[in-house]
Amino acid sequence: MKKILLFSVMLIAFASGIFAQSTDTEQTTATATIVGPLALTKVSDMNFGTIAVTGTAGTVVLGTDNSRTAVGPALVPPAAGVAASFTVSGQASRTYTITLPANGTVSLISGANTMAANTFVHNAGANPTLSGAGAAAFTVGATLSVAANQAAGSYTSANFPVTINYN
Amino acid sequence: MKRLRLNPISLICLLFATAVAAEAQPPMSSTVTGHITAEVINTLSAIETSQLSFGKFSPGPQGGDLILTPQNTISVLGSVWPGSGTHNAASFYVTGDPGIAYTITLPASPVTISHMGSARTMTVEEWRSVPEATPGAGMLENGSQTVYVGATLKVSNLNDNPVGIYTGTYTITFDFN
Repeated sequence: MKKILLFSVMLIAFASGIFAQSTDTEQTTATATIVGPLALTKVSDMNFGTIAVTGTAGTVVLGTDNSRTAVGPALVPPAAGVAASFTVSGQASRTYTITLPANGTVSLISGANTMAANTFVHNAGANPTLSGAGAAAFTVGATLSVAANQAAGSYTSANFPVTINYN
Repeated sequence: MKRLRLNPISLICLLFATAVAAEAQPPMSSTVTGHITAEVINTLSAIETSQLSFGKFSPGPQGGDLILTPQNTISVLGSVWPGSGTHNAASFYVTGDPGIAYTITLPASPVTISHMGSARTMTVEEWRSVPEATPGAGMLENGSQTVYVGATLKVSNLNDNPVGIYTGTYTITFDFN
């Protein structure tokens, strides 16, 4: 019994080293906040669809609503644009931030030919917020730069990251 | 030994709760990766390979119609008599990427052709084409297609349409839907 008592004394000495002046331990434990995990899931990749090139350089703007607006190159069916889409789960009603690729970091490649994708935008608003059920969803568009007489082909980018953080 | 009166069990609970709180911190962010695709094709181009020509004919007292089909057959309605000379349906050579569908747009309203040397005119109406001018009816099976165009010429009597050559221009559009 004497040995057990000695052990208790050592434990208290250690704990009081951390919480130097605290004598009300119940109040201290009340401050712990457990945050639900934040998870981002990709639903679909982005697709600018079919683009017919002209002798004029231009851009194709893919909106978060899947719309396509072209300046320079013509657009054609059958392929429509598809904005990238994501779902979020986490703590109910928490706000979060979305980090999209910076300009100059994403290119679409077909053999030796490239097209740059810039000006990534999302539709989650200025203050993205999880719902009362801890869910959210958003889509991402971008602007594709197409050169004059851009070589025909199927272009694909390398994988790029999309990150969300709790505020 | 007075400090032993502090309950050791609540202190152990305190340490445990702190550890849980620390473990709850890491999933503050989440990252996924995605990629982008796009299909680039060449634009359509078209050249006129044959001009639309109704050939030579003679108007009668009441006038009538000359009907030129895209298949280049000509027929008449009313008091018009086809003469010698060559008539031609128009043809256009359209090129682009293989397997691409496109739409032909013909003149929607009558096109006027004018007499050389006078103000007399005739109108060209009821434009027709092969393939038809319906959305997506054109198809570049191997990257090209020939489009044939015909129409109906409305001819008046000899007073209104004196002898001579009548010319005019029209617009035909080939486009991705």
